[in-house]
Amino acid sequence: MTDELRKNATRWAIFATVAVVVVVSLLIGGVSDFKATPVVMKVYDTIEKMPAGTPLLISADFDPGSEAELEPMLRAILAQCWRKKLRVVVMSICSVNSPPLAGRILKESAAAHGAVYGTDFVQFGYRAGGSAPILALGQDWFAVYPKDLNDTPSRELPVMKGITKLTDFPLCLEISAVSTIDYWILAGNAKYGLKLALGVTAVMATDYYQYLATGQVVGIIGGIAGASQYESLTRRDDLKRASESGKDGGLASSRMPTQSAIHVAVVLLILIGNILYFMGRRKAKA
Amino acid sequence: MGHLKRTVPLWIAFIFGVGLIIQYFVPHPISQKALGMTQKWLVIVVFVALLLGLGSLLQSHLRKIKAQSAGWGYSVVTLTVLALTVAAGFHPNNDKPGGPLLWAYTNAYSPMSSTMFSLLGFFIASAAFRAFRARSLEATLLLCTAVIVMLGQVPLGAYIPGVSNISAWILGVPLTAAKRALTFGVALGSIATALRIIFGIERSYLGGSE
Repeated sequence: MTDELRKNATRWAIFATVAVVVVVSLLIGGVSDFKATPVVMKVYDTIEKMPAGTPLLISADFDPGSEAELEPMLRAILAQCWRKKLRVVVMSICSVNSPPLAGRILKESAAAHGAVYGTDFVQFGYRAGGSAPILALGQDWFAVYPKDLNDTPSRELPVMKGITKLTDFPLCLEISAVSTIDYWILAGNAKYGLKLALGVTAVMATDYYQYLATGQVVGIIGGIAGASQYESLTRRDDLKRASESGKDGGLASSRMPTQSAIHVAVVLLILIGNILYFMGRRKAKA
Repeated sequence: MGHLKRTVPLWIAFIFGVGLIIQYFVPHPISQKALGMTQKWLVIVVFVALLLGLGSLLQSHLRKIKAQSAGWGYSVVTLTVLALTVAAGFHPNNDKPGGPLLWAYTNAYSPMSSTMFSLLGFFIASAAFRAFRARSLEATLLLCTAVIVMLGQVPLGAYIPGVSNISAWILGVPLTAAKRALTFGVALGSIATALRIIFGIERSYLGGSE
């Protein structure tokens, strides 16, 4: 077998292993009950301490590529918001792809919990320019968003009562799969002192741990694991239902067994790779 | 002409650079008003930059198609989809449920984008298999760290004594320290580059050989 052929065979064997592990674990199913870590608990506790009627800003900055990780996260947070009767204001600075995704999740979650558009929640559209809209929102909300996504004048919406600028929100939850988080940290937090909590994809989470110690970010929900931990705090009834019915239910906790299986498979692949490496080295020495 | 291409942009960069640095430290209403005005300008500049990007995209792909260079078929697909998307944007119900833009988004963009992201899982597994080899002390440390953090991120880690705590410590202490050092380095580099642009030392953004 030539080196090229061996390399290709190894790659295909790895791909096949990953595919088999994913398919089998999906077929087996199951729901994980993942205890929340302190980093996730901080986000939960901050929202939990808010009195009813407090406005909460959510910047939904994700697209279909990261939807699988961030959708359950947004749903878990919204479940807490509806229970706490907070006023939810959703906006986007990532791309034109974000508002349709966030809008669907928002509408479905609100309908399930009886939240009313315009009174309990509102959605604003995408604004380009990175940190520019954040800086402008810090001066005058209505200059950036004179109307919501339904073309209703923002000032006429009951949910916007008492809100004139960014600092009227005690917390902003940035749910993102891109570097818009940096804009929120630099423009929202550093410039206006806006308190931030992050919901990010797993690969991005490690980039933002540095802001936890400085207090610039109150907490981080990272990837499916973070979303699953948040569900264990806010969607216990849904977890129980999914566990009993064996149906996915769109929960992150239903995806955790697959993620666990893949992590174990990757660790085993690393071990096998090292065993083969040392065997090859011994053979070469002999 | 050289004056317009070189001296004027340099002065614009200098005035706005210095002006906005001063503005940051002045909370006076006039200063705030000036900031608001420049932010509106910034949004307009970003929009014009998008138009320039569109022009550049058209130019580059049309050149490829004309020369029939390698992969020119993909350029045809790109431009066709671009034209269809722009045309859909002019439809009266373009962003309403059932409208052409939302239909294309739900039925084409969304599944394709998810598929692309899903492929990452396969490539990460393949890369981990080949890259994480205990060739040296540093590589072994990297390997052990990766394994601990990976297991610490899933419920299984909770059943292996110490894994969750060590994983949390790795993320909270060495990772934070290293990332902070990197962030400071990048920030200092950015400040130096910004100053070079503001004072006209760095001129490569003007194009040409300088």
